[in-house]
Amino acid sequence: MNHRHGIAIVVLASVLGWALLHQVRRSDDERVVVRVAHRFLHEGIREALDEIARNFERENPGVVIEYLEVPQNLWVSWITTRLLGGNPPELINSGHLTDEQTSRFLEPLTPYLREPNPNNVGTALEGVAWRDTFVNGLNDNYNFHAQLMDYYAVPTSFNTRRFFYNRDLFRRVLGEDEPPSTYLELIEVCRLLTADARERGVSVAPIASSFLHARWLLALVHQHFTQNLAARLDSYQAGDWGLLDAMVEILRGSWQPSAEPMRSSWLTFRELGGFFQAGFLSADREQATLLFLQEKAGMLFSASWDAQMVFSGAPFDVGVFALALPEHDATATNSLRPVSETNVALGGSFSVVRTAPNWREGLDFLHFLTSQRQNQVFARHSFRLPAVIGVEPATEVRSFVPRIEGAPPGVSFDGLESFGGGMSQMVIDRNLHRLLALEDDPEVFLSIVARELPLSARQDLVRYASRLRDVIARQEVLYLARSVVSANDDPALAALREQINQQVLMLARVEATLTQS
Amino acid sequence: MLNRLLIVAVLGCGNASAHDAAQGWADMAGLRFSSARPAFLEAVQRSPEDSRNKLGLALALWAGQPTRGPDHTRAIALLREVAMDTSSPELAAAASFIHARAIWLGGDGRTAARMLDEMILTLNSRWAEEAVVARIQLAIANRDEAELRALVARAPAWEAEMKDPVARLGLHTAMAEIYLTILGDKQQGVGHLEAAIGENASGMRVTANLLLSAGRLLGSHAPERAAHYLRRFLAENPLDGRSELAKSALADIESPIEGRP
Repeated sequence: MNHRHGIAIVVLASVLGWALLHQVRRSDDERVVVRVAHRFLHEGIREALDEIARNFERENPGVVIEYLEVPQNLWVSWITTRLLGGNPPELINSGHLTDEQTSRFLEPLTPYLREPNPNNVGTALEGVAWRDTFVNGLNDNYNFHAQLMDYYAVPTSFNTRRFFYNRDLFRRVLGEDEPPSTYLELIEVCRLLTADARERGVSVAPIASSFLHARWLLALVHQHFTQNLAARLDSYQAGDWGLLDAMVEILRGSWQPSAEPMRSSWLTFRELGGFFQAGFLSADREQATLLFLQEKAGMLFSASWDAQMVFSGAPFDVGVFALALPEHDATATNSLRPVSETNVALGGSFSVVRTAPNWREGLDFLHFLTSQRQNQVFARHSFRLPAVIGVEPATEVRSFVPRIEGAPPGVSFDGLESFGGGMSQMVIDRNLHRLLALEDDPEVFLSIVARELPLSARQDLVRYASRLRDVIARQEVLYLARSVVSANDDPALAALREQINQQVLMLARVEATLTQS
Repeated sequence: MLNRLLIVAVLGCGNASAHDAAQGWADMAGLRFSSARPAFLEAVQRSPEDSRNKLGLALALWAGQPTRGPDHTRAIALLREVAMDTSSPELAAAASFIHARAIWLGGDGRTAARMLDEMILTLNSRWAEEAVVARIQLAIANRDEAELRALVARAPAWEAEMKDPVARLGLHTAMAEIYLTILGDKQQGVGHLEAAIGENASGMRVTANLLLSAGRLLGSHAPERAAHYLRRFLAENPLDGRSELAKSALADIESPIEGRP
């Protein structure tokens, strides 16, 4: 037995052992058991789900809700074992299933989403189609399966990114605890915190960060500085100029990743990065959060998903504020506005497993969980931003409520790690230290980016086109098969054809770019 | 027509081959290609001359290897056979279209263009109409300006002949792409966006994009039409994250800047 086989057996045994330990308990009193498997191991979400389950059981005395908490790193193996082994839970956290598993095991939710959520009776959402009870009308790609043309998931919440800050520290060093409202104020606060730490001889960084936190911050900085660039290059003016467009235009030479406005963007990030703790590029997410909670940093740039942990774990008064960025780039000719945050993706989603014995009761619970009243319970305990219209976020996270007004975002590089082959993200990751080392000349980084990003963009677009060809082929097969099975009576057929034509246009655009550049 | 033929063949016969084929089509409709493949292999083995089974097997093989490999090669051969079956023209048209698409996705755009050109000589099926759309899309991928201008010149005649609104929508969106992103003719581009809006797309996102694009691109050049599209966008997509963008464009149109004639 070689080493690899040994590891595989150990992993398999662990998964199976873990699964056996978590075997479903049948209700002793003959009630129907709805099992809900999830990866939310945060205290606030546990409390929220427990309270909602008890509320549901009170209203549905014949049903009992049972949660199965699965660690993130075991999720894929665990859920695959349960689905294939014929013992699946009724509801599962969404994501991580293949197209075939989705089709085989999950209940398509589109027909239910057209109908009102019965648990909204007596609220302002009574009679409103379930889909339209969510803040973005489920108009995002997370809950909708683009290949199968159906919804397979329903969300509970969403997140935005903000600075957490130590109000006690601010009061002591700055004499007040008001957060900075402009970029210049933010830099000034960072300087004062640095000076204070030096004076006291303690190691307190202005901003706690990690490789991942830095990436999130960089995404927002890029989005801000490139807002006018995106508006100029968007031939359609549809306000949804995305990463693919950005990569295509890099290759066409319409914009340079090291020239303005990107130059200002990189340099602004360098300035902010100068206030991160030493060695942050090798820190992970938890280490950065811990640094902040241990009062070894004045601020932490993260997202609302950390709010519960930060507010409950911090031994100091915590405040939240939005990142403010400069109103002009270095040319001082392009005025910049704060970027709108309305294009949110709703997550924390659940899917119904139709091969589970009590999936209909599971669907009832999903309706209940995402009703206005219960989403309020979820928001209050979890500190996540609520996905349902009319639900108030917890007081602590009011500052995370998305900014409605503002410019459409520019190029963010958000998701670059999974675009094509992830080569462009690797170029940035590999060289970021050159930008952030204040003793180094930033021109070195900028010249690397200018030289290497167009090359990596090409590699990523080649990979992207290759995957898109596979997707189009399968969509064509799906279209013909659904035409046959439904005798051309499938209401999704026209939309599927439209989608295929959109994807082929996208492929044509990419192929043309690759041929010509 | 194609679907009725297939359904009759698949469900009506009641034999084992039809049962396998029905299962195969159902599997493919659920993206379960690995299950569809043995079902169609069985069906083809039982009824080797049945073009419907051959089409099903070709699709199952192609889905597994969309661009290259032995299954891809076999799928292409089967599609070619079905495309030449003169006894069922609709089935042959569907196979011809998929054959051309598979050749393109396999990397041979030139051969695919020739096949599509043959298909669109007579627009006698919805697959031929879709072939028009595919031909224009292929020209966009080639980005040969002379070829594009030649196709652009033929577009009005095709449009007049096309009966399928989904294919017409595809034609207009492809034409808008050419005018807006390659030829730089905003007026013609917006004209095709407006024509596409008139085809009443089924996908909500498609319609929303068309309305917002047309409204913002028309802007002050055609304020009444622009305002109409923007208002419709806002009415039909109240929860779309781009509402503020539409409202701002609408405000620009409705309250003319000082000094504007």
